[in-house]
Amino acid sequence: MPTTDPSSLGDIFVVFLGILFEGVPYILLGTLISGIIDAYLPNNALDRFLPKSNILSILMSGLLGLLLPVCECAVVPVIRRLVKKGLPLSCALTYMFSAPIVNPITALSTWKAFSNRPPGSWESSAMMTCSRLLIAYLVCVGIGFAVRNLRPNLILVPKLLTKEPEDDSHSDCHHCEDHSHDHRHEHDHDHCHDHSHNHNHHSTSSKLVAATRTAQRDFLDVVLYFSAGAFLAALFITKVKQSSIEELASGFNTESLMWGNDLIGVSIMMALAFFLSLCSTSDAFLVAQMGAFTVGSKLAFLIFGPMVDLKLIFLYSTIFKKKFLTPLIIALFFIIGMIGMTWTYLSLQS
Amino acid sequence: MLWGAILLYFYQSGRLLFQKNTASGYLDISFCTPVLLAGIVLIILGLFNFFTKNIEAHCHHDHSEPHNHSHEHPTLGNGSLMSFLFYSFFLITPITIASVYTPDRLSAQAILNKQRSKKSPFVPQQFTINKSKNSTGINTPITSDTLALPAFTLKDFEAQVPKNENGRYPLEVPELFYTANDSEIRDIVSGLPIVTIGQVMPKNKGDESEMRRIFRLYIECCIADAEPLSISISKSPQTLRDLSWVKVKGTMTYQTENNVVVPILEVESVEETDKPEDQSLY
Repeated sequence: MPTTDPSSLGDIFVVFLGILFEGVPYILLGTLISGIIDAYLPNNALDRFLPKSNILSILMSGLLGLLLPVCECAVVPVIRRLVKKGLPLSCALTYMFSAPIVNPITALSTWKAFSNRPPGSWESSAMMTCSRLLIAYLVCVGIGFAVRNLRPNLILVPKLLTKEPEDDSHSDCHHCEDHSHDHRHEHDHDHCHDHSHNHNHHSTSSKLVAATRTAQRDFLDVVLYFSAGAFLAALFITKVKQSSIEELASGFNTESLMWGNDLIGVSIMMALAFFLSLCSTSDAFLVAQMGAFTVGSKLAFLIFGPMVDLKLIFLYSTIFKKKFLTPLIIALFFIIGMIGMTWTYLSLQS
Repeated sequence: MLWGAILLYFYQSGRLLFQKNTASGYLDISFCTPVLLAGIVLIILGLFNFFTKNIEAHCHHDHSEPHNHSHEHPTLGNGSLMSFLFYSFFLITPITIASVYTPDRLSAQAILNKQRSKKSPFVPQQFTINKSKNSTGINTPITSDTLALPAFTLKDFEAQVPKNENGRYPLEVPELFYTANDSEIRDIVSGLPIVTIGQVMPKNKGDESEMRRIFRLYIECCIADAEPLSISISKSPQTLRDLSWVKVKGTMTYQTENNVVVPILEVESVEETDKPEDQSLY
């Protein structure tokens, strides 16, 4: 296939494809896990692993990324499926927002990016890495606590509101293959009923079919939104002069010992994180070198970006209602911004 | 399957990877194997689901019985024909058009737009000069130990960057850029005869100065995060074409603009040259 000459539209295509090629393997991985969860994980099985206390569950969910490290693209399909499998929303949100940051890969890349940088040393690198992970964890746990008393129908899109049928002792009963016997069982959720219809005891192969179909459906569902986000990110990356944005942001970063001195700098850095849509495993390498920015604005970039960016907005819309998503993003922007400014203030004090 | 085929095509054709002797590509090599695997898995997934389409699976209830709750089927959208067409169009069209019409590389304007501010100098770690006395290479990083070392001298610098046969120090553009960040290294490099190779950065609209910039494209993960690392060169011929490769000989000088030290290569000669083996830096 011959390539065309570089052009204005061609730039968008190149960056669009670059983002797709980078992200699609991880989205596919997430959807494959989603398919396996759907077919093989009994409903509410997670209840057995999570502590009975909701508070402890949320606290634990924020650390799950250390055991199950997934990037922000892969985590969305997994969460969709886990929510349908009965994972409490508070835990799901905590895990979804924290996993891209509170995981060993991101910790290592942040460490590496901030080490060996003048005037840096391993102490400052450790400080930045620990700050990033700790603050992200606290913010995510805060989200978990904030939503734990909200009704799912206020948060989730209708498609995810239908909980899958409860698994009972016939936990394999998922399929509609014809059977000659009538069967009677009970569900303990809102569509609990007695029924005596054709029922199934499916085989390993039919479970595999179920898993692959779910994976395919989830992949197509998620990648559609990812494409839209990637296209807009490509548009921004190729058409907007990044130097002018950085100069605007750094122009407001001062070294005065006053809280909030980098209000606009922090805000612009978070906006930059939003539009650039960088992967959480590589964003630190770019931010570490931005010498003109305050430590707080860098931290805000590194925490806000993996939680909320242009492509993620589209992915999140496959899970959340707009009425919930919009205030959540605004709240995250303000909370992380305040933390960033406080961090700058404290670092200047010390 | 279309998505899988596109991934496999770009992998197999070599267009995916930033390669030697090409200025095009999309991903760093570490991301290429995941693309290959994803392409294979997507095609297997598509074929598997195609050949098993008549097997009923994962249907949680009997359709003969009326239910009052919603039901998710392996269809796109809400299951209607319009929804299916809508989803199919937006899943197929953008990636297909982009794949057919992509030039595999960025235009001069995009390179210009991606250039970072002088106030936020970005130098990847591998292009910093090690101030350790025992260092044998330019790519070894600065550590807290090395920062406390005795004064860095020309001899230490020469141990890492030996002169070439013409008596010049060959340095990459990002390395020259880095020298401005460290006063000790700056003092040593200032006035030294340098030779470097880079691409000519396009000028901003309305920029009438005779000063040009040369750059090397640095890629961390993919083309989306690629950015030109550049320095100014003085007295460049007006005939220099945007994005052309040039060999520049000159001496390093530094100016302070708005409290930022800016490296400038005072040109002795500029000539168009062949593309280097590695056209992008990683």
